[in-house]
Parts: sequence; structure tokens; C-alpha cells
Amino acid sequence: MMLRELTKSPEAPTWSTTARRLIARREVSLLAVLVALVVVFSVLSPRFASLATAGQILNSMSIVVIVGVGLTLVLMTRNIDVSVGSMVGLTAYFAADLGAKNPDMPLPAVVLASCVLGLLLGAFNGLIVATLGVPSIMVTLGTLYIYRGIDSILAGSNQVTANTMPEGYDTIASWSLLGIPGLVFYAFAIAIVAHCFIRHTFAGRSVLAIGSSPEAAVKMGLPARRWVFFAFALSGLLCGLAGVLWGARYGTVDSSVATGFEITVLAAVVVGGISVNGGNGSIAGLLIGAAILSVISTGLALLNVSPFWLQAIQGAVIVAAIVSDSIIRTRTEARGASA
Amino acid sequence: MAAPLIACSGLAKRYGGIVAIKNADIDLFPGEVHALLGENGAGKSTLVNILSGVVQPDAGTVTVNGSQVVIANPRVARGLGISTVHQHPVVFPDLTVAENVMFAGEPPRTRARTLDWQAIQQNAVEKMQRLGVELDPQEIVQNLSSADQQLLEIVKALSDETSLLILDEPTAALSKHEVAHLMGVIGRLKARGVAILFVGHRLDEVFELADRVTVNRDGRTIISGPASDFTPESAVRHMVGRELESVFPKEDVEIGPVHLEVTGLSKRGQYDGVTFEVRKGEILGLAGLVGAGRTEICRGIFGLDPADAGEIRIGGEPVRITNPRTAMRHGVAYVPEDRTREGAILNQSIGFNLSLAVLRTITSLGLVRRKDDDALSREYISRLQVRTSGPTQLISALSGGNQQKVVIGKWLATNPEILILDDPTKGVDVGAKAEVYKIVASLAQQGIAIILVSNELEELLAVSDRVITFYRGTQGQEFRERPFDPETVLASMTGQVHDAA
Repeated sequence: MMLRELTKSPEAPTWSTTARRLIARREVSLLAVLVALVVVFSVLSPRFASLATAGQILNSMSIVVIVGVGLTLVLMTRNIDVSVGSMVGLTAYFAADLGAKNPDMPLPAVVLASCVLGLLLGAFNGLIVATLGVPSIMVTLGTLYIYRGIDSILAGSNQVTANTMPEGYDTIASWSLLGIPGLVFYAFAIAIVAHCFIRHTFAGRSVLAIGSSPEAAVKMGLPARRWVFFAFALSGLLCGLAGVLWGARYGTVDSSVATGFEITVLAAVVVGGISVNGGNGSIAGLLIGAAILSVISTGLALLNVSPFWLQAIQGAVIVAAIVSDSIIRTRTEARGASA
Repeated sequence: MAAPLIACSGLAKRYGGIVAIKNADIDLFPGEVHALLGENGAGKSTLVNILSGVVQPDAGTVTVNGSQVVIANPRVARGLGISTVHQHPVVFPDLTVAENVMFAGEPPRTRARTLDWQAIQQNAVEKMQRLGVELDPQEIVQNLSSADQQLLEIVKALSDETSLLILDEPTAALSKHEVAHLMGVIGRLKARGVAILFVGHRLDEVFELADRVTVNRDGRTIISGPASDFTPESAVRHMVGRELESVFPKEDVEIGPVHLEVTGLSKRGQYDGVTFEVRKGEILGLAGLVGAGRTEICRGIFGLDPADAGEIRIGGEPVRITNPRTAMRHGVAYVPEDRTREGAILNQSIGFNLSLAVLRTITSLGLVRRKDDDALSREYISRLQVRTSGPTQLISALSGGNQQKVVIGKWLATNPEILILDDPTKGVDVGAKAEVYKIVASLAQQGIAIILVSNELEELLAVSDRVITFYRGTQGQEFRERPFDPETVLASMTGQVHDAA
């Protein structure tokens, strides 16, 4: 005979449980950290609290967000893609070079070509992970080098500069509407679509479900492999888009573009509360995570922090942000539990 | 007799070199509860997995309404009307209750093909109401207790299209009240003509329910027939393949002087004023419901979650135990409740697990002496009769009972004087339980003071020299005279005589 105290029948959700659930959400405490950072930088630097700075912060986080959306989906399936930097680099050179060599090619075609290349690169990652079951960290570490290697072979020591890029290439990124940079529109449009996908479609919930419990996914008959493949392919596609935008924004593309960029994106995603154990996280978290990193780097630049110190301080602020976030969360959770 | 709804014959399945089932047959009739019995490792779960489309058989056939089918995946199974309540809840812990219910069927969508959250929520609530389950549909599943997760698993399985409901040990995590409720649901489904396959090893439940019984042993179907042809004793005989004279033998042991004394042990919100002593060679049973604070007290004595107040004396000397290391130094060993999470390191070998608690004694210059490590492993494997190919085998490849023997062996290697066993036979089959208790009895004979916690009252009363009850963190009565009367102990541990006492 198995004995157990009768489970208390749960009370109907009251306002306080709803509130607790809201506060316990990672995004809320992260937002508090973001606001605190903005306040601190505004006090330290009079130039920080301005529209120009805000535009700069948004602009510099945009490519991180675009690539981060793909990485978020991959992480949600309990996988990882560390080849994103190399995919951005390879597609950036491929697109800029394609445009430079075919000045008559319409720009949308160049963008499309870059996206298709990215899709293929991502699909290759996805195919190996999903069909062979090789841990994604190994697969994408390998392709990180492969894709960067192909980039080096293609580019050699060549550099595509703004002069050789086709007419208007820079406008892909530099247009603006109502003072808001075009890059920001791309990023937010993609973020909104991704948010709706994750929140409101069966496919999106499936992506979270298979990351939450791969064993349960098998027993429930969810096509786990398909969604893992899809996440990697999408990650590649978004890298392809980011590659074009990178070239358009910076005006110079060589074989070293976006080297180490995977760490930046990974930092934004992880700071944004997307669990590397899958099944968890949100696009809102990604946006806040990317914003926190962007605020930190922009703020430190405005404070004229010595470049020798910059990286170390940046790292320290990131750690401080994550620690205060977890303190806020454990406090509110404890209060919620005792209430 | 009507034709069977589902008939399986000659099913076989191997995993690598291990044969899970060799020749399993079972016929399932509409409106009938069919009990599938067998020890762990008899191949029950494999049969369940084949019927629910999780694995494919290597040989044999499954027919539904007379026509042969291939159950290629769980969705196909659901399409055939086969719903499964798995032994361990198959849930997505990061998602809500309502979403988990949604994944068990076709999700309601809006016209734009996005999810219709309102309908999803309502579906979940309706399904739960039908079963009398009250869970908040918006709660994240990992915040639910394991019993509630099990209830959710049952909620998920039921739909109007269900023609066969498979229940794989569904009652393990449920309270009596919930079990009674589940029995009611099973009765209603049966009346509706649903075939039910009930897998379990709690014989009292099985015989209350079953119309037909099939016993599997070592992957083969041993016998199958109407439930009236069986008695619990004959079923056990078929399951283990031998007579069990007594599953829980009580050996005569000379009880020595008091070794462990606990006085006024308290921890806020968990237990209060716990006072008892254990003598050398004595088995003290702590009885109580899940949540009565017994595990917490054990963890307090072992220093995992030290108590806030109170005194512990060992061998007459007051001791301060602040962490497991100090506990071990005072000769205390603790076999935790959750074997797979706290007891064993599953992805490591048996030898690795066995030497874990005594690594320091077999280490020179920071390196483990392979020879001593090996000798130690072999010694405990043979002393505890662990059924294994050798110390290098992964512990996860062993049955639950053999895993538990390794965990106990790990602590025996520390030469404990006080051994705390927290539900040592959880999820272990009858034969292995007997072996575990034989080991416990022989440890008592060696003069070890033993504290035993078990949720199986029958076992606890059979092997303990003395029993103390706990109810919601407070100590109840002490029972000193064997044999103990289960009714009075039960009354005490459910708080019924608490005020009178």
C-alpha cells in the first residue's frame, strides 16, 4: 500500500498567483536590470540619455538580435549553434563579392542569394545533428572552422570595400524611417514573427516541447528531428540575411568578418534568460539581453573607458547584470512562496 | 466470448545484446481489465512501448479488430485508439498543464492556423473535470508534485476515441484517495467498452480490478487466464518462478547498547522536537505518510540539511553534524530516497559508484590505486550478490534492485555504525526486495544501528524491531512490541489518534 497525504486541491488562480507568475518571469527581472543600467549610465554620462544614443544602441543590437533569433530557436530544442559567426562571415563576403562582380544584379536577388547560402549552411548543420544524432556543439564547432575556411579560400586576402560594392548596397542597412534605422526594423520584424511563431503556433510549441523533454517528445510522437533540422536551417538563413546587412552597414568585407561574433550572440541569448538546457526562454528575453549588452558597450564607450580596460569591464558588468538578475528572481520567488 | 480487440502474438524485442521480450502474447478484450504482471525486467514496459508505438518489435504481430497493424509511432497508436499512461509521466516540464494536454491530441486552431489558446485551456479543464482532477491549467508542469504530474498523465491519455487504455503502473505516485478515484474512472471506461491493460505489481489493486491476468517472466508470457484462476500467492509464484516462503524474513538479532540518541531535533517548517534512540543491531522503522518529515529528519541526521535545534549523541558523546563529511566521520551512512538522482551516478560504472564514498582510503598521491579499487568493487559485488557482468558495467544497465544493492554497498564500504535507509525498496520488485532486506538483516546482525524509512507499511512493520510514527513533522507514537498491528500504526501515522495519545 502506498501512502501519501491527500493532495491539497489547488485553489483557483488568484490575482496574487498571477502576479507572482508574472514577476517570476525572467523577462521582468531582466528588464529591471536593463532599466538600472540605463539610469546608471545616464547619471555617469550626460550624453547617454539622448535620442542619438538610443538609436545607436538599437542599431548596434540589431544584427545580434537577427542572428540571436535563430540561435534562440536552436537553444530551445536543447541544441547549440556556434557556427553562426562563420556563417555570417561567409555569407557577408559571398554577398558583397557577388554584388561587386555583378553590378547589374538587382539587390533583392543578392539578398536572396545570401539567404539561400545561409540556409544551406544551416541545413548542413541541422542534417548532421538531426539524422546522425551527433552532439550539436561538436558539429557546429567543426563547421565553425569549415565555413570560416571556405570564407578564407573565397576571399583570400581580398577585401570588398564600399567603392567596389554595387550602387546602393549600403542603403540596405542605412535607410531610416522617422529617424529609426532600417536595421532596427529588420530586427524587430523578425523578432515579432519569431515571437508569434513560438507563442502561437503548434510548431513553435513543439520546438519548446522537444527541448523541454526529448524523451517525452519521442513518446508523444512529436517529429523531433524535423524541428531540430528546421531550427538549424532557420539559424543559417538568418545568418545569411545578417551577412548582407553586415556588409551594407560596415562597408568593408574581408575573410575575417564576424570572427568571434558567435560569442556576442551567445552572450545576448544567455543573458536574455534562454536556457542552454532547452525548452525555455522567449524572444522578449533575447531582446532585453541584446539591449543589456548594447547598453553596456555603448555606455562604456561614451564614458571613454580606456580600450585596454574595456573588455574586462564589459565582462564584469555582464556578470554583475546576471548576478543581480538572479538575486531579484530568487527574492521574488521566495516572497511568492511564503505569501 | 467476443473476439479480442487487440491481439499480440509472438512479440520479440532486443535492445543491443539484451533481450527485453522473447515470446510475448496478450489478447485484450473490449470492456475488460487485463492485468499484466511481472517483476521488473519481465518485459512489461517493452510490451507497453510496442503497443503505444514507441518501439517496433523485431518479430511477432499485433492485430486490431482482426487486421494486422504496424504501430509505427505514438501518433499512429493514438489513431488506432490506443492511449497510454506511462509509468514515468511523459510531460514537458517547461510547458503549462493545458499545453501538455494539447500535445496529447490534435490542437484546436484558429482560422489563421494559430493556436486557439482559449479552446486549449477549455479542453484541458473539461478533460480534468471528467476525471475530477483539479489542476490550474496555466501552471508550469515542473511546479507540480509528482502525484499531480501522474494525474496529468492520466488526463492526457483519455479521449473519446480511446478503445484501449494502457496504464503502466499508474498508482505508484498516487494517494489512496486518488487511487480510489482512478479505480472509479477505470470502472466507467470498462462499462463503456474500453479495453484496459493494467500493468502493475501492487497485487491488492490488481486483484480488485482485473478480469483477466497475464504473467510475464524473463520476457516470456508464462500464463494467461481469467483473474478468478489466480490468487495473489499463485500470481507471485508465477512472477518469481519460485515459492517465496517469506518475502521479508525477520532474523533474530541480539540488540546492543544505545548508539544513536536524538533529542529535541527540530527544523523550522519541517519537523519539531524529534526524540528517539537507536541501539546497535536494532532496526528502527520510521512510519508516516509522504511529507511527514521522515526524509527531512534523515537528511538532518546525515548533515545534508542540518537541524536548527536539538542534540545528536553518538555512542553517548554529543556530536555536531553540519555536513555529510562530519556525519561520515561519526560513522553515519545514508542511502537516499531517490536512487537515480541522489544514490547512484548512473552514467558511471558499478566500480566507480562502489568506491565513491571511500576514495580517500584507496588513493595514493592523489591517484586511485586501481588494484584496491577493483578488489573493493569485487568484494561488495559478491557480498551483496549484485547481478552484473563485472565492476566495469554501467550501473544504469542494472535492474533497480541491483542498483540499490550497489548504493548500499557504497555506504557499507565506509564501515558505518549507523545506517539510514530511506525507502530502499522503492521501485524494486518483490524478489529483489527480499534480497535487500536480507542484506539489511545481516547488517543488523553485525551490530549496525539501522534507521529505516519506507512507504510500504507492510515491509516496514515486517522488518523493524521498533516503529515510531510521524505525522506532519511531529513525532507520534512508539510501537515496541512485535508483531505490530498495521491498523493502529496506520491510524497513528494519519494523525487520527494523535490528539488522544
